[in-house]
Formats: sequence, structure tokens, C-alpha cells
Amino acid sequence: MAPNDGTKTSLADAAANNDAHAALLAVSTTASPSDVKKGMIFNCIVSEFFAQGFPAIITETARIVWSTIDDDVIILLGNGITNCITARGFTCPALAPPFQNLKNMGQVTVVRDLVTALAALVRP
Amino acid sequence: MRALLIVPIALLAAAPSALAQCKNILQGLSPTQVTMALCPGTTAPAVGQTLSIEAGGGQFQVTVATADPFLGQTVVNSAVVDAGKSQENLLLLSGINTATVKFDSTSISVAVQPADPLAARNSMHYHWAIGPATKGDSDGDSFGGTDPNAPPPTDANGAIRLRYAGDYARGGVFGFKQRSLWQTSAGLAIDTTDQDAPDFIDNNSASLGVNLTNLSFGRLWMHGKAGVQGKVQKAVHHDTQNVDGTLTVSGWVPVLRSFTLFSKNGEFIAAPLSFSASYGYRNHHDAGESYNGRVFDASVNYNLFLFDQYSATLTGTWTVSDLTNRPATTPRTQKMFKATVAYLANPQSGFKVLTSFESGSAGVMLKEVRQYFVGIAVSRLNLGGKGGG
Repeated sequence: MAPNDGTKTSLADAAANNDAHAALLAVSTTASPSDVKKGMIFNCIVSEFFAQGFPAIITETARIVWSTIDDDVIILLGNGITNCITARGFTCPALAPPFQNLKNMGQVTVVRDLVTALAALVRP
Repeated sequence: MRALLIVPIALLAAAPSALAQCKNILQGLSPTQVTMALCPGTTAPAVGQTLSIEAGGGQFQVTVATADPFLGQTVVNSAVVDAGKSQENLLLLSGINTATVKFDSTSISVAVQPADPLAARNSMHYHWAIGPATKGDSDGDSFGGTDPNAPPPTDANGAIRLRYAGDYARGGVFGFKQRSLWQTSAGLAIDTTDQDAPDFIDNNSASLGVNLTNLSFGRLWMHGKAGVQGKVQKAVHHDTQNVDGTLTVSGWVPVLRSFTLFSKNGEFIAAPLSFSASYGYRNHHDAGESYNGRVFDASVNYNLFLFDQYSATLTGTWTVSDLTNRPATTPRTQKMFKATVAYLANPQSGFKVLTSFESGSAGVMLKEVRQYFVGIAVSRLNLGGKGGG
């Protein structure tokens, strides 16, 4: 069995002992503050896009086609995601201006890339 | 002859910048926070720097808190220096379209985005395109023939097609009740060619209306508008026109979502089916005669995505003209269908229109047409289906 002191056994040892729990721990990593922030940002994106009438975003590989979105909906999306992130104790700039430019430039953005880019804007 | 060639070439060269253009944009989301999105090539201020924002006949100062890259732009977040005047600052940014940001010796012109979603009704945007047009082909011979791989037919006459669509919207009713749900809107649409023959499309209109905005009914109807509108449709090359006074309704239907088919790299998230409809009174003028009666007009727009790199935008228009003494040449019911296919070569530059096909008639057109429009991005076509970035 895996030790209870929080240390990990190696994957080889876990396999030798036929210990699935220890094997899972051996290949896992601890969630970082960055992961928590990205998870929060992803949840805010999912909830705000759905609230504005878009289909549910299931995975981070989904791609947003900004050019199909009306300007007033762009503002609602930007303000909604900013307010969602701010309500969770983070500082976030207004997102409607950069979202509007993604539309102006006709870009298609993978949700994972959007989350990563937003994580760099959000403090702490 | 040389002059005739130069003009279309110059317009074609200018078209990409009109379709995809980054703008410096500023928004005062809260009384103490001002955010800017700056385009590539624009000098960005440093963190801690004080900026002077001139807007609406006044000015105020902000201090840059963060300046970070964001998907090709720079997002500058700043805090108002004199928090005691923050409400006054927000009023300076209310209802204006542009402002000027100054720091050191740099001066940046920025577009101002409304802060309040309910005030997001001050807008102006347009797009246009120009390219070769093929002559109408009512029996459809130009589609396929014996060789399904044959290229779209070329036009021996060198016909040029011009399309323009512009919309203007302002909160309130002609300048009054600006903090309400009311909105005044105007639109101009041109879709014509340089040919007089009736086989070519010639559908142009101008409109002015007053609407209630931001209406919704769950996921059946969102971002809805309802109101009254006056509209003039006129053919440039023929003596025919419509003048309408109508009730209008439009919006999104989220339950009819966009779909992505046969994709391996994740679905596309796009606007659902959108629609607009109107019902009212029409005065129809054709070849020196006038007719009056009721009219109904509806159009829908739907986005479909295929194979990771293709989009198909489907547009349908249905018109019923129940005019008294309607001449035999004026159809009671008209239907127009359009399919636009675009290709995603590079996500940073987005979908580029490859071609479009439309069939039917709409507006003041008396004869059905069936024709191709070959877009400016045809050179990006990847027949192997594996390209793109």
C-alpha cells in the first residue's frame, strides 16, 4: 500500500505490489495555484457563454468563432466574464475591448488558449 | 479601358484590411477602472505611468496598473487617479464614439465601448466586397454540367458586383430617452452590378426604425428586438421600388444552436440561428405604375461547420407581397437562398470566404437568379484538407 505520510512510491514499486492506488499517486501531480485559477476562468467562460445563448462548451478544445457574434453580445460576454472572475476574489481588466478586437480581426480562438491568455491578465 | 481595370484591382487590394481590422478600444467598466485593448504596432504605456484621457469635451487621469499581452493585443488596465470624480469621468465616456489617450509624447486615438450592457446600443459597423459576377442562369446549367470538378463559370462580359452593408444604432428615440431600452437604428445595403441586364442581382435598400431592445424569452428568444421601421428598396438599373412601413421583430434562437460535423479538433462555438421578420404596408412602384397592400418578410441565418476548417453560412429569405391589383409580373411569394462557404487556413486571420451560391429572388427583383460569387481568398483553398495553422 502507499504510505500515508504523503510521500509517493515509484510506479515500478506500485506495479510490483499490484497497488493501483499507489500507481495512480505515482503519476499524479499536485494542483498548482495556476491550475486553480485556470479552472476558475474556464468555469466563468463556460457559464457566461451559455448565459448569452451559445451552446454549452464541453471541452477546452472548443473554438470560438468571434465573427458570428453581435457587438452587443460581445460586450455582455466581456462584462460577464470580468464580473465572474472579480466575484471570486481576483482582479481582472475589462474583457469586452480585447474580445471586440478578436471579432474585428476575424480570429478563431481555442478555449484553452483563451484560458491561458486570460490567466496572464488576472491577478493574483 | 485601363481606368476601368485599375479601379477594381485597387478595391480588391483594399478589401482584406476592411474585413479584418484591429482597433484601439477603451472601456470604463466601473467608475474607477479603465481598460484599453491596444493593437500591434501601438506604443503601450508602462506600468505606473499616468495617462491623460480626453473624452466628451473633458479630461481625466488614470494610472496604469497592468499592461499584458493578450492574443496579439496589449491589454492595459488602469485606475482613475481622482476617485472623487470617478462618476464624472464615467459620464465623459458615456455616449461618445472616440477618445484620445496621451502619455509622454504619445497620442493614441481609441474607440470607446459602452460600459453598461443595456447601453450597448450605440454602434456603427459596415462591410463591403467587390468581385466578378456571373450572369444569371435560371436553369442551373452552370452548376456542374458533365464535369463535377469543373471550376465555377467565368463571366465573359467582365461584370463586377458590389456589395455593401452598413448599420447604425443609437440609444433612445431620435436622441430622447437615451437611458431606456429604446433604440433608433438605420441601415444601408447595396448588392448590385455594373450591368443593366435583368439577369444580374440588383437589390438595394435603406431603412430607419425605432425598436425595443434586449428582449428575451428563455432560450427560445434572446437578444431580441421589436419595433417599427420604414424601408425603401430600389433597383439601380430598373424603374422599380418598394416603400414599406412595418412592424419588426428579430433575435437569436439559442435552442437551434450551431453545429460542427465531422470534426476531430473540437467543435466551433458560434451564434445560433438568428432571424428577422416584418409585417406591414407596402407601396410598390414598377414601370410607372403603383400598387399598395400588406407585406410579410422574414429571413434566417444559420452557421454550420464541417471538417475542422470549413464553415457554411446559410441564409434564407421569404417575402409575401399581398398587393392590390398586383401585376402578373410581380410575384406574390419570393424565396431567396444563399450558402456561403469559408475556409479556415489560419485561426489568427479567421475564416475567409471561398465562394457563395444563391438562388431565387428577393426584394424588388422580378426574375429569379442563380449565380456564384468567387471571393478574394480563393488562393487559400487547400484541396488536401490538411493545411492550416
